[in-house]
Amino acid sequence: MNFSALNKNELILTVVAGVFAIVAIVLSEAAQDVNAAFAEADRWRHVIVSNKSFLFFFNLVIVGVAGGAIGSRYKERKRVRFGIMIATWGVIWLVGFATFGVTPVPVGN
Amino acid sequence: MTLSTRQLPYIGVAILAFIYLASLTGQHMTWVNADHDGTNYIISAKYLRLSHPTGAPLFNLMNAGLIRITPGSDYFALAIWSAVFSGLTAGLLFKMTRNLLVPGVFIGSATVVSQSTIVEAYAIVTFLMVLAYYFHTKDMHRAKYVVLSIGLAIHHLPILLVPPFFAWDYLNGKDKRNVLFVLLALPWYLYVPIFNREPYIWIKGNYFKAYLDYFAAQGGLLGGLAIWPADNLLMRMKDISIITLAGFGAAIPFIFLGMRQRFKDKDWLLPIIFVIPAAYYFTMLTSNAYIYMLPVFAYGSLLLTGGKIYSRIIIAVGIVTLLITNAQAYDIGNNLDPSYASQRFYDQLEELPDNAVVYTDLNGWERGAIWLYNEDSGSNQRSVSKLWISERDRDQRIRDIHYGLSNGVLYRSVDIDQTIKHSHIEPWDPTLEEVDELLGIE
Repeated sequence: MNFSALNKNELILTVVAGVFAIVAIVLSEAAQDVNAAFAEADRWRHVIVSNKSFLFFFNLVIVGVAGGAIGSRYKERKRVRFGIMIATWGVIWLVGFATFGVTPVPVGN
Repeated sequence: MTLSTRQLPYIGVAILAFIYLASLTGQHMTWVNADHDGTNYIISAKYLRLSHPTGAPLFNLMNAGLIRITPGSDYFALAIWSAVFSGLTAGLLFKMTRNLLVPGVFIGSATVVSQSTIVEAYAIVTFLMVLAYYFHTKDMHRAKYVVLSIGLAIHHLPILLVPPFFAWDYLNGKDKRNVLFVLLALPWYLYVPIFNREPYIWIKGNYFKAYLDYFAAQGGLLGGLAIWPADNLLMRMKDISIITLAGFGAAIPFIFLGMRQRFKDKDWLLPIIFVIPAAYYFTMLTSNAYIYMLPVFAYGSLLLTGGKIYSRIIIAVGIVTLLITNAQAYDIGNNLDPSYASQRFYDQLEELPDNAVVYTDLNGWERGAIWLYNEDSGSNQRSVSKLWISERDRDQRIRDIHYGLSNGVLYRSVDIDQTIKHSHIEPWDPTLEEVDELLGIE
């Protein structure tokens, strides 16, 4: 093989691809544990039932984004904008408190 | 439609992929089925019963026909169709790109192999999701939603494609009413009330609240993974990294470049539909959701860009190595589950009385085997597991244990060898304290 035909970027890319090929082989046994669900049944014993889930934070972020989007339409009307900011904070606290005690799924352990 | 010689290479790739996967397909029931799914789909195919939420109505009806015309055991008669549909996906990927590396990366992925050799819905769902994207690339926008509706009559996963497809149509001035064609999936769900009957499985009865509970049963899983404490989050980050790195191998840098190029060209749809199912899995409570990664491997392989000849050689060598490694690791009945753990458990049930109560701990495939045995033999054996989803379920399981104790028909499944999922059913005579401790009652 004539690797001198490759420029610097192509050579780096080829080496990186080779490294990933080796990593794939090294991880193949660990991947079998996931892909064949060897560990799955045992994991149910350790499921953390927490209200601090992706969905919980996603809801808060979405309320904030929505409030920000509405507020940005009123850049020239400072009182309205301030009111929207306060209302957004209020809704975030409301959603936070309302769903704080909600578990993602009830699992008996 | 006549078959032209130009299509033969695509068919050839599909057949080669099928042969590879078929050689690894399980002949009998295995535990490698996302818990109880395999036995559950056999019950639905043989007896037209319900499968787990959200029902898979079209899949069950299709399987009811396939199990009767395909030779081999009940299990093999359904599992082989997973290999067929992943073979078709490989052929379609080749048709879309005319690059052999693309179907190679897809079939070389261990996640694809593990789900294409068992009784599961993900091979056909992934085929339909790729077919929908194919129709999109051909400007057949009505057809893509019709195909998605077929997918949605099998599984909820194709719903992830609807928002990005609709956004693309909206931004590019296509007919927005086409999205309504996904509603064609709904009539198929009449299967659920039509075939829900005693003895009830999955749905507690024939009333509205029971149906509501059934269809909403998996809603809590969406985004439910705990961020803090961080144990589960770290576990998921590790899992998704392992199966992605081990699945794509040498193709990863080129997929990254392909994504970058697509975004530069303002062709954002493919990168987005590549990422969405991975994000869905990443945030789901159950680890079993790794099976939702199949479309990620299909769309990821489509993102592959050419690269120079040396890079292509390395990708090709990587694919061949993965094909050989996976053939060793996922050969069901030989290297993986050599004793067909679920079938072995099923065979032991024949020695128990018809009203036996079996404590199965958390092994869902054992519970599924008991349900199938009851349907096959007309027995009324019950499984009791440690996992429950409501107080009412928990109370029922306690009553079952007490019934088993008082009638001398209580058994438990004991793991003989956890690494190969060997278990043995033996009579059980626990104290009430032991029962409370096992069921987690304080």
